[in-house]
Amino acid sequence: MGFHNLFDDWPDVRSLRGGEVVFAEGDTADVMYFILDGEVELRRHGEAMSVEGEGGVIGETALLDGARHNGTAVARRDTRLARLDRAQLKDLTEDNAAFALHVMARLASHLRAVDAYISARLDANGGTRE
Amino acid sequence: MNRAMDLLEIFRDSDALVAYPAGAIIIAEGAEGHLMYVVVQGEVRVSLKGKLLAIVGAGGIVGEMSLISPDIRSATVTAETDCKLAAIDQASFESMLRHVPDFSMHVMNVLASRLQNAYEMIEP
Repeated sequence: MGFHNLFDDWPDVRSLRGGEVVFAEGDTADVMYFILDGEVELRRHGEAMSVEGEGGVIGETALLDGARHNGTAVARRDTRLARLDRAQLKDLTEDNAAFALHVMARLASHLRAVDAYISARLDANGGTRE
Repeated sequence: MNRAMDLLEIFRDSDALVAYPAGAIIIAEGAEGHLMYVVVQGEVRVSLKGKLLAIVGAGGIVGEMSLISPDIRSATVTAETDCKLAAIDQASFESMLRHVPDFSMHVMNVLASRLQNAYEMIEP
């Protein structure tokens, strides 16, 4: 299941070399990215958290929530990214429910990971507390 | 700005609302589930191992994760007050994504905002 066809002739493509920063933790966000090819590593407080490859999306949380980026994204090798602003994301997801689900699944998987972390920490603290 | 969409307009007059008395468990953490809910009346409490994550009022949604990435329920939802909810299954959800303007952005905004809150909880 690829979404590359949605980005044929995309007007705003950013090309990076390995080691180049896509966005940095704390940056304000007015775009997110779809990875056309290459790989991007996400770091939080300098520590590698995950790697996103072709077909993945990055930067969506901060764009959607109007917040600053929670992590730094760095290209691991030559990488091409399609940039989407809010209006473009809205158009794409409304035209294509599968793409909407793709972005949602990524948000959901992050949320599950953070919830699991919170849950484990509550266990370590002796369970229930208010 | 993230809550511009009014789901109440769609579900207020639904004849398939389910009523829960205050305190009732709507979603149990760890259970399997294939429904999301729109709160039509009252308030629900989202919690994780007893810790409050959010109070969701009329027009809000809960349980959407189960339709997006099927897995066990990641949080518990109980009725904070007497409440009425509209249940949405997978087919209706996908149909809404296709046909209801703003719905997909709305769901993404809700997820992003929960994620942002969760990050703030682990790093105040």
